[in-house]
Amino acid sequence: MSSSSPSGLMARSALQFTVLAECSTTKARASTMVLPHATVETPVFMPVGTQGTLKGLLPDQLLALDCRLILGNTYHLGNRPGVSTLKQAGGLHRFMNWPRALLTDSGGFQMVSLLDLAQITEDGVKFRSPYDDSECMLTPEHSMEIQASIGADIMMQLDDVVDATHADPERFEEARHRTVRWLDRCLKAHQRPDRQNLFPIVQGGLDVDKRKDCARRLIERDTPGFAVGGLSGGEAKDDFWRMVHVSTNELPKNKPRYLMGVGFAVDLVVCSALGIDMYDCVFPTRTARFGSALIMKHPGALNLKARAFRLDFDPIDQECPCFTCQNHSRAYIHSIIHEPSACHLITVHNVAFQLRLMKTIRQNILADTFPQFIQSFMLANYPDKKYPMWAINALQAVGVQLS
Amino acid sequence: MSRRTHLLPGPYGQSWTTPLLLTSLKGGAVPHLTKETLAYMEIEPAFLAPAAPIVQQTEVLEKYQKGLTSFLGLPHQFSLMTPLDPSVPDRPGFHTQKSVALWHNGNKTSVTPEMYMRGVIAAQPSAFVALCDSETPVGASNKRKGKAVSKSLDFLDRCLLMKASEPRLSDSLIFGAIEGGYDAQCRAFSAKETVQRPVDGFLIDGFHTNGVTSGDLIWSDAQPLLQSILKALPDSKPRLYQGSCSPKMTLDLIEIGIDMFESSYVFHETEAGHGLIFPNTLKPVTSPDNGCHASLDKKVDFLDLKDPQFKDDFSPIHQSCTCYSCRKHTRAYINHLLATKEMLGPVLLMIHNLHHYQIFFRTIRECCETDSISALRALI
Ligand SMILES: [Zn+2]
Ligand SMILES: [Zn+2]
Repeated sequence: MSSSSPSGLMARSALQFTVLAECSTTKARASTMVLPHATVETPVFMPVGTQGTLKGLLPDQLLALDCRLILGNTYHLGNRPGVSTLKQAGGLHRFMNWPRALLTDSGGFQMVSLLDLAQITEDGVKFRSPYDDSECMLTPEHSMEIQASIGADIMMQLDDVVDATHADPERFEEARHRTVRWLDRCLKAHQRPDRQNLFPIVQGGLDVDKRKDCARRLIERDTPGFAVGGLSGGEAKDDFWRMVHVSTNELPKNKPRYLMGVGFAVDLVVCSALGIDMYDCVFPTRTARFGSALIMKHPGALNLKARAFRLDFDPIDQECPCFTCQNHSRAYIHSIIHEPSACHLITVHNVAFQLRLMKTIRQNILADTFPQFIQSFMLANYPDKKYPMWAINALQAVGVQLS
Repeated sequence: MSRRTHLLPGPYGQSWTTPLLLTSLKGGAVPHLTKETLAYMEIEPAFLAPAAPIVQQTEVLEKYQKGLTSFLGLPHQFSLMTPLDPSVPDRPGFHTQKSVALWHNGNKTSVTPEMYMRGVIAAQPSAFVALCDSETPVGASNKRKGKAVSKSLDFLDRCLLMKASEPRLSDSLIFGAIEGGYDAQCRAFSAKETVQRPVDGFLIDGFHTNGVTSGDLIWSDAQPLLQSILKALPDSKPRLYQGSCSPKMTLDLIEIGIDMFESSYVFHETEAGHGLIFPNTLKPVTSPDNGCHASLDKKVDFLDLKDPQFKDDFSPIHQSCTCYSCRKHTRAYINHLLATKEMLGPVLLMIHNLHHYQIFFRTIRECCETDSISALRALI
């Protein structure tokens, strides 16, 4: 082990991003992202392990799926187990015994969406503790402190979150400027740039110019990667993809781009074509709890609660290499659907589904067959060719005409 | 001290030695675990499969054809099908003259011996308990107790007849249930009659109403009855007891001649957020730290891992345990998972608790061979 470099020029970044291939038609790219705890192949989907666990799966089960990067939620982890326990444990990796990479959000989004009374001031997010009703404040500095105790490979800046469907343009303007001010406070409070990466978040609502401006001002700060935020909150899909498109046009090619809160299969394919490298979403693990198993073709999921699967002795997906599909039938999962074990089986499959989809996207980018893959993927998911208009438009914008 | 050991035949020529622990399935899975997570366990389990989920999907198993353990994706180990789920409290008052009410996921099925045997044939277990009526709670009328005995004998005769004429069940063992509640006469009659029939083993049934309260058996009431029943049974055939058994109760039952147990105790402890730490080997534990300083001087069977005292305790559930949970995870992490009601909490507890109980039974078998069970008893 070498100590710090004598020249003092050691990179102030704990991330090495290498673009291996770019699609010759779309903006998609396949890259590797070397993080302190894992080498991640992008485009990548990060399953969400909100409270230091991924919905009932053992870390070894995630390793068996070759999952390399998962997400934890700072707001939840800051409450329980809390900074003191995390520090004593030596960070979240050791607390939950997860040897590979972690990403944490800033806590701000969770707070605004979970707590009715959260109020945003210049200082930070003011809220009442749901545990003892005391008044608390999550500042950029405090968010960084919690994220430092968690020790994730990638941390998010605290941003000023506004629902993209919010009507008041002045509020967006305020949020955009405040997000940049808060980034500077986060950067100042960031203690370990050699072990943890801080990503800023591109805001700007649904306004093209404001998105561009926000991205440009963040780029000046020379952070190791960027997130695109404030989307996937109920805005029209046509607004959604345009904002992604605008953001990736502005962001530098040599750094990873993370689109927050996106995880439906079609969205992953389309947004990868728009140049996104990283995704997270609770959907695949949450939907497993309701008995829904994801599949690569129409209708996108099987509801294994349905009686139709009583006598169906096929696996969820013939081609899926996951433990569930290799060992169990739809009929078996249907027969134990009320047991926690059924949820575990479907969760394993759904995580495997997301990872396999991303791997397929990546392989097609590397082989420069991504446009053909998009065609076959869309046809399998919309066999009647009634493609959603937003997807047609988005793909057209990057040179793919759905046939 | 009796030294009873039996070899029970399993699939593919395996055999199982008693005293034996059967891992109880709930609804068709080991609670909280899957085939994938069971594979992290050291000891391959034998299974107890309650009948309700089987008889409610006989048609599915008939179409499937390869039997229950295969359908469940479980290893082809010894499996025993039994009428009632010992981990779920009975719902009294639904039996009829000709049937027994079996419940699963809130659905009642009134099961006749014919329906039951159809389920057995479809499930192809290594062994099964004949359909029986065990509805004899404390305070049951004499008439009810007598009825439970006569009905169970009638059902046993019909199950035996159907088994004899079914080639697919020629290798399956059949157990007869001894019923009669807390009534010496009924019990004596039930035992005498059942012994006369060509059964391979016995279920000692009807002393409790299943579920977590089965662990509250009043030993002074049950012991004399149990003892006289077991004396009336031939030594050569194994006796199964169902219900939650603490370590002490397990040893008490082994001493009077029970050979087979099931794991509902482990299930209830897991649901309560408890991690088992009672002595399960004869080896002295090097470090006496059981994490409960206040209770160091009195014996505790478990740690309540929900307790905030474990919030920053980064040691494993049990110091000398080699199970997956103890090798990989800490009390602090499990405490956090239980506090946040995360599904992984009971998964880790189930792995440890089942392992701990399995090792306890392995030690019991070793003690039976070396006649040293009193040494184990002294630790409990
Ligand atoms: Zn699968
Ligand atoms: Zn253990």
